[in-house]
Amino acid sequence: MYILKRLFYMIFVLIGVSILMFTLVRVIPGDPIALALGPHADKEDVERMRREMALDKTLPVQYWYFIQGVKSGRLGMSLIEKRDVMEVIKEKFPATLELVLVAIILSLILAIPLGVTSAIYRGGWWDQINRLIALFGVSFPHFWSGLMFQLIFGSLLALTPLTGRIGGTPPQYITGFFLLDSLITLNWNTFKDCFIHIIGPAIILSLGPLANITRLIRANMIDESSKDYIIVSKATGMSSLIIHYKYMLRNAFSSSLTTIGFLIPLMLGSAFVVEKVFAWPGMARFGADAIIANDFNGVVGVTLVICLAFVGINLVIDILHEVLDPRIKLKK
Amino acid sequence: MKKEPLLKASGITVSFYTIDGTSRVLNNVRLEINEGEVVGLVGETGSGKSVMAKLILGILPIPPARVISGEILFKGYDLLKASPDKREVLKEKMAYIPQDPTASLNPVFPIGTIFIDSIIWKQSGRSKSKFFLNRYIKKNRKEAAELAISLLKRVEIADPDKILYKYPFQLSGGMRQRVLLAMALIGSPELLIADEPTTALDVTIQKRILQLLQQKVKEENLSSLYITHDLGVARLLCDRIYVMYAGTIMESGDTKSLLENPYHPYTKGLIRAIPKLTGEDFDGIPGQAPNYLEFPPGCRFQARCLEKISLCARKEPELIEVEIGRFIACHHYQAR
Amino acid sequence: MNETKSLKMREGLVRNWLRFSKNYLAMAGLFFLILIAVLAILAPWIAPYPNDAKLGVNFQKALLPPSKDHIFGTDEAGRDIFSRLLFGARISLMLAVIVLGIAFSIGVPLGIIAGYYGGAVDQIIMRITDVFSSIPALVMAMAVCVLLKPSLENSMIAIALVWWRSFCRLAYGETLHLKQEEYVTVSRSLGASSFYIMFREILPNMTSSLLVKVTLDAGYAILVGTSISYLGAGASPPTPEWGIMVAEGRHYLPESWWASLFPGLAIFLTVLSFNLLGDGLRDFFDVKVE
Repeated sequence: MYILKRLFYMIFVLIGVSILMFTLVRVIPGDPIALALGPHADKEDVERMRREMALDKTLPVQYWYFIQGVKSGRLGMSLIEKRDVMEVIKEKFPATLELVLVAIILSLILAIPLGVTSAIYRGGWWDQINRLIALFGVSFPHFWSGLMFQLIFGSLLALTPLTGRIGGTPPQYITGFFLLDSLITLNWNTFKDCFIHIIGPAIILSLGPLANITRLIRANMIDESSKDYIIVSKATGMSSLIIHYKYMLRNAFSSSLTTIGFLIPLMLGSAFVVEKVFAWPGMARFGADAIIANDFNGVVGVTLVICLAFVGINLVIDILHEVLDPRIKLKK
Repeated sequence: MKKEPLLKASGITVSFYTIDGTSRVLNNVRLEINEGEVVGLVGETGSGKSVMAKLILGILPIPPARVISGEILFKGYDLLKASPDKREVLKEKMAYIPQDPTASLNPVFPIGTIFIDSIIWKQSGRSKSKFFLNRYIKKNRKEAAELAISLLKRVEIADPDKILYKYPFQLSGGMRQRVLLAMALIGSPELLIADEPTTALDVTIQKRILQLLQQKVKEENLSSLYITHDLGVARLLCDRIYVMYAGTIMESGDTKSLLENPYHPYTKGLIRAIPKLTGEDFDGIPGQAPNYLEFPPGCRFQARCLEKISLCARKEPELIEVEIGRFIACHHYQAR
Repeated sequence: MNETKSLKMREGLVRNWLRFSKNYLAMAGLFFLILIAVLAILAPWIAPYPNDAKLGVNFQKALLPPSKDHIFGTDEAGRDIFSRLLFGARISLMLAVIVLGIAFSIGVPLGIIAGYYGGAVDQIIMRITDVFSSIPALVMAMAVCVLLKPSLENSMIAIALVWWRSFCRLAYGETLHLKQEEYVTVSRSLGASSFYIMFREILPNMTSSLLVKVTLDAGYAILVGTSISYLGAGASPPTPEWGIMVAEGRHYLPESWWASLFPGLAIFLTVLSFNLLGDGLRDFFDVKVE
């Protein structure tokens, strides 16, 4: 029953967003087609394109065509890629997803121990340093930190490549995630290649969430430590390691989940910049290019995918909440 | 020859430092628990009894609290000066039953998990590596589960094997308290500290739990510190009683003589305040709870005392043994 | 009567200030912010090469490394980077003020109204906010900005239009919480109008959380603003905006590293200062509430 309600809500939001973006991109002053085709385009060509893209019809009619297109898996023609947006997204989305996932995993792996230890040694020098690092982490403009990374690790130390997703040939296509695919096919060289390409953008992308999650976990752990059941465990001489990492972390993490979930769409936004800086061939870079070039189908398509991701993540978080907190599952 | 008490606290003074000021929540407290004894710590809410308990258990948050002076000798070691490791070892010999059973069980784990963790931890002799090894061996888990079941039987829980798989919210208040009591018995503790364990329960369950408590204490030959604001309960369970007000011990002695023949004005007031079944009018104690931030010099009870004299405002009375085993802190009894 | 009241207020302020000033990080943030603001305001007078901010071009001096004449070096058109940074500070700070001003004025009243009235009004306002919230700020701001025609002013409007949603959310949550308070019920029973309650009783009690949010968001708005310009949808040359300065300097890496490093550093330090201050404010109000 609950899931049904959530699904309904999901659809509502998706429709809302699609209408919003759809209208937005089409009420622009100026002529995007002329811009896209360049100043030397034939007037007839421009008219033809306009008719092809149904831009000569009224807005609701356009929207209708759009929905029909979506039903058959088409999102409209992209002006900059000269093919259907759905195709473009299918091709580029895995790259972005891989990047974001690696970044999230990176931030979680670091943030949880940092957050827990900051809470345990609250007020101490470690806590203060972490706090400072957290504040630093959210202050970096991604385009600048990306640039600095490329400067230092790419140029100066020549440890990582400057741009791109891979140097040699990509691994055999199984999941679309280069790292996974190269592992599955036991292609160690390709894996190293992919890894060294992804590590730069992933680190830059993970700085913000790392900072946020660390502070969040710390705050939630501190809240947990004053809970009665934790005090009882401490009083009866239970090992503090177990108390911290098993008893407290469980609840602290579960309380952080919602916020962590909201970080992912934020990361998708930052990915627009990071992918540009590192020339990462992902959906976000396409999105950035599409916006600049007034490729409205591209813009709408990318936005819808992001929105879908956002709503999907909310669903996943709800499920995770159930798993981590048996009260929710059993009380229903 | 009289044996050394199991727990001997003397001169305990603890202050809390907060933004609003410093408050001395424990004022030169003196407490003794002998082996096999049930000692009651009686006082109003906010009198500092929980602070004392937490201090003994080592769970008092040290900033903002600070121990100004005193020592607590437990089995010969000063708890306040012992190294953290030694403290942890000593903690094993203490058991704690808290006030609110609902808040005292981690809601996201089944009862069995907490039990087994506790049992295996104690069995592994507090070694982290041994714990991790043992925890995941099926045989150990089974043994621990069996031990847990036998403990649960001892606190008279029905179907103990099913209980292990349940979550706290699936049990009633009384059952939760029993579970906590069973967990307290793990590792054969020597000292049980119970902080108003029946306050959060229904009246009907209270009696049953109290009886259970009494039984277990006798059976296991536990020494016990029972904290309560209810003199009636204290009379039922305790061999000796300490009466505390505003962080100070006002009177202490064995239950019978203290309740039948109270000396301190506060104790007298408490006894008067117990509603009697004969329907007589009962008096309260005039005044309100004190403000710990600003204590006037002299006796801490003077503002509400019916037998106040001028000396009370000038000098704080010492805790003096006026008869064998009877201690009073009141100027009316200082001369003897 | 009034004297004692204002005396007490001043006492309270002094005491709060003393407590707040113990937070070194926050004080550092505050100090830097004041410094940047002062530098920005005085830019036309203290910049060594004020012409470089707009049109001063001198290709002979292109891409000089940092030196005594040019503390931060020159860019590809021979303009003094330090002077441009000073003028860039004006732009970014102005952006923060305008964006937050607009977003605040739209979002907060909407949120309070939604929270106070509940029911259909609540649903409508909050659902619209939800729809707007599903798109990351940067993405939507960029889209709107490009739609309007890429320029600095439009980027500010775009960001403001995107920003109101989080103010709405915050005000909504706080209103839900605050309308349960006793003084609201008392006022209502005394016959106060809804408008009065909303804006004279509920709103003042949110000031602490609103203040924290405004401070932290100022930094974030500057990040979004400079990102939009970096990507080419905002300010355009020769405006000395920090974002496009980094973008322009990018072409000349790694040899002329100063062209991109210093503008980015300026962004970083400014945002950091806002964050330090905001974080300190959050801690300060947190303890008080407890």
